[in-house]
Amino acid sequence: MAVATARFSRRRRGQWISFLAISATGFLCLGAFGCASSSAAYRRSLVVGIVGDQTLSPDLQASYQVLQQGVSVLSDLDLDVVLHVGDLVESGLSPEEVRASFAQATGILDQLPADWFLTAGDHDVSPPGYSPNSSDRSREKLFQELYGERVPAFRQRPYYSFDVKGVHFVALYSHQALQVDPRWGDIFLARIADDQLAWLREDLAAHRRTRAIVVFLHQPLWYHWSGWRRVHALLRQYPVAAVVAGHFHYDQDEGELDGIRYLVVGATGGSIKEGSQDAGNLHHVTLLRVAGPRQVEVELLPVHGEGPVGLTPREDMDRVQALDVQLGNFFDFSLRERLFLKDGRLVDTCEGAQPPKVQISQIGNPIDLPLEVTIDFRSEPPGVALDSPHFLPGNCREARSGTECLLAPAARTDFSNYSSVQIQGVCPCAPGPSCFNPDPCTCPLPPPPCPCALAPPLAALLWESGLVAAAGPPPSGTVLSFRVRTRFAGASGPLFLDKSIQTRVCACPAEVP
Amino acid sequence: MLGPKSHANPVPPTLDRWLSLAFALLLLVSLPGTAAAASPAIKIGVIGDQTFSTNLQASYGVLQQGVNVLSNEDLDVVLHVGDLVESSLSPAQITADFNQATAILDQLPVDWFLTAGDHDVNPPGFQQDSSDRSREQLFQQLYGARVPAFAVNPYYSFDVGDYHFISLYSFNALHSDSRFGNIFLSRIYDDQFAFLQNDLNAHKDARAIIVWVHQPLWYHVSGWQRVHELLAQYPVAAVISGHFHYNQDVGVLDGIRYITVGATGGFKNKVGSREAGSVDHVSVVTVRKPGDVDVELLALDNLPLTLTPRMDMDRVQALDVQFGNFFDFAQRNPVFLQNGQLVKSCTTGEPASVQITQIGNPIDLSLNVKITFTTNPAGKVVLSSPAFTPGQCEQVISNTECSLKRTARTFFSNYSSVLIDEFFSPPLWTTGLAPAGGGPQPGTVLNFNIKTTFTGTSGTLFLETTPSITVQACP
Repeated sequence: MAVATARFSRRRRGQWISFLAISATGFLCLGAFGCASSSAAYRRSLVVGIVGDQTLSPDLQASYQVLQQGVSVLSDLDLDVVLHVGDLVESGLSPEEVRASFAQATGILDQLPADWFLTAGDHDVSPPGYSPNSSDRSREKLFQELYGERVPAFRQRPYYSFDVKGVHFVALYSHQALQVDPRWGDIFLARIADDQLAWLREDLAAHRRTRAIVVFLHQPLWYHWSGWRRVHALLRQYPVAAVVAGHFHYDQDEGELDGIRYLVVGATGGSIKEGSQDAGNLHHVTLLRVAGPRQVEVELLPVHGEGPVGLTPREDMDRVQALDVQLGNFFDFSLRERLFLKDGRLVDTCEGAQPPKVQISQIGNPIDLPLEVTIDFRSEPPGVALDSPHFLPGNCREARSGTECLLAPAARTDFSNYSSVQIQGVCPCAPGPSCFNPDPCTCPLPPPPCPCALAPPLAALLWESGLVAAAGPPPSGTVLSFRVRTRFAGASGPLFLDKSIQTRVCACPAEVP
Repeated sequence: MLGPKSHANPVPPTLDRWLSLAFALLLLVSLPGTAAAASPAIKIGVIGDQTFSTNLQASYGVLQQGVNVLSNEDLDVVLHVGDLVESSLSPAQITADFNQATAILDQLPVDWFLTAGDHDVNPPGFQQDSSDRSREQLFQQLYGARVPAFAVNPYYSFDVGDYHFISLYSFNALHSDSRFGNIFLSRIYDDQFAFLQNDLNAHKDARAIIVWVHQPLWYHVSGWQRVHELLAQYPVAAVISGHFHYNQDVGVLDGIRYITVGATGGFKNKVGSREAGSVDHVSVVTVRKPGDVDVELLALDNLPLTLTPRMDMDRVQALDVQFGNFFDFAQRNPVFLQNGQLVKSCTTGEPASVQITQIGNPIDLSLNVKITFTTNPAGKVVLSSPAFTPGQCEQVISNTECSLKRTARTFFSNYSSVLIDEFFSPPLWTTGLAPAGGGPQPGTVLNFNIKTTFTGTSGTLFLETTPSITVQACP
């Protein structure tokens, strides 16, 4: 309810500002500058459909099915043009696979009743492997060749512009340095370089009389603000109405800066977060209505057909992102939390044969608002139960039950932002040797944790529980799932993020049939 | 066309006259110099941080210099951006320091006002969002004796002529920072935000509004966003902060000029070019109206100094964070004296060598790295076969100087943290050590000055650090 109210008032305020802007322009129009071109701008908004990312999902075919749904949603609307914010293919695959994926995905997009245009994403142009600022531009070349068959200018350089009914569109390119990101790695590389800026300057000057300009690019490069600042300083000299990006796989509203609406659209098939819909658990397409600068309306259209829904403010999504980074620290949970079946009993190790425990230390409160932590347990098949689950004293502002607690702002946290989170006592280094698919029964035991300069020697536990057989001995291979939910009341209402972590019951060597 | 009185005369409402007026207005806008001469202006002195220095008395000596410089300017008011005392000291010491520093500031020929810094209000010991507000209370009591509103809330406002000033408070959560730790805590909380809303609304007719705040809270963009959106609705001309101990120009957003001023006596955490933050200064900010703000830096070494753009200072900050990785340089490179020779270990007798691994290129421009070796006392040790590891440099200039291509050897880097690849990359540079000039003694200090230089958007900037190793006696 609170969410709906907040969004309603946001939209109302937007309409009020639009009204003022129209009035102001109308006044000028009555003055020295002549009316014809200005009043024409208000005949009708340009209606722009936007499609988000497809990539980083475990199954590209499934992503393309969601893309198909998104295209169907957009096809029911009277659109003037559609923008794709990039990440259409997986450039880590072979050139043949990239070509086939490109043909398949563009085949879906070509069903749109309006022209569509794309800005290239990291998954469209990055070479296989990870090497920041890589000099291997083979995939970029391939993608330029593929998309260049549709937009010839793209073959010369992966940024270009075009006009639709008096509105000018600029596709900027975020990957002049390959395998970079404005939030991770060397953020200083994630920027528009001089050559592209020079092109942009000329392009904007040549289109300064259009009624509105819409800029779209894959990465929200403004997260590296000092790199983006000169781009923003240029854009605001022109009638730029909106800057739209993707890449994050969640939507967020950044509000207006110097009259330019900045926003990020979520994924249309790409991997999404587990949690509440407002926290990025949503596949959607977007509808942008542009009448002119300061006259932009945005609606998110979920691919499953309901909605429209509003954008989540960046203030809350940066918090969600910190929670997501924190939940990422569970990557080695199954290796840390092992249990075995020995002579029909659950034990912690086959040698020690003590009753097993499960422990959680990776969770703190990386944000500035109270955080509710809830742990739900499930055994599949049933047969294992929690025994005396409890939060350790001193951690919770309020321990509501053995599986639910409220953490004070900043509790247990050394540092946190939207790129990295370190919880006190939790070594940020991988315990290695890494197993890409960490199976507790086959992965070797990790060596002692690597030395951490900042962390105390022992991880501080948040929660622990015994594990017992509910009836008879559980079969080996029984999967124990823990859903860790973190929830807060943000500026836009309550938001939660989930992580399902698992381990499984292993057989001791003697038990192996 | 624009006569000396034309803009002051009432214009009869005919179309011709309207058009003349429009042209006159256009000229006024396009000729700020002309407009400035005729417009009222307020001249504001700004003083930076004193703290985090090893010697607070020396800092107050610099403060005194800054006050002397500002006293020669024809100012209307002076703002202090905070960090006047060291709140980790005892209450008695804080009170004494406060009295000493304010006595210096009271020599100013105009009124001065302060916004509290982290070193004014944080309790001893580091705990984010600490509930120990004892030092905050003490500082409210001390400064509240001068500005009574401050005793109630550490944020307040006042007028100087037609201009309105708002002192915002960065420490709703204590021990927080917009670049380090839990950045989400570093924001204006709801109670202060409500004060700001009311205060702005009550002063919306001011000729201009100037906001100042200790920490550049806008580094936590999503926390600051609602503050900026609010400020943008009023005639706010400038937002001024300190805290970084280096100056930077953040430019204009929605007509608001954002700047950060450097230290006035506070620890110069940057050793390098003056533009990279190594010089003490005070500032004069002249505000005529929103969109018409001039900033002049008055360096206390009396040489010219201008604001460095944030783009370059973020790069400098990444280089500075990188230098922080030298904290254990001596432990990594032990040097012992054994039978007149320098050895790595007294048991193996292996010859001493020094490796520099902690340096990469954390920015997006070519980085020149130059290593200069000295000893104290001088000339007791020389380098033996110094060399950069092949493949690490973009260009090897000499055996102690090379350029690194952008992002070389770097896992991640931003203005908060830098991680250099010391795990998969070989050392950047290695050297042997040979006795010279009568030879070293236990206690001889080996200094490795490392200077990193880049050509940024504002010119050439460099930053240097000098990690050292003390020669030890074998047991």
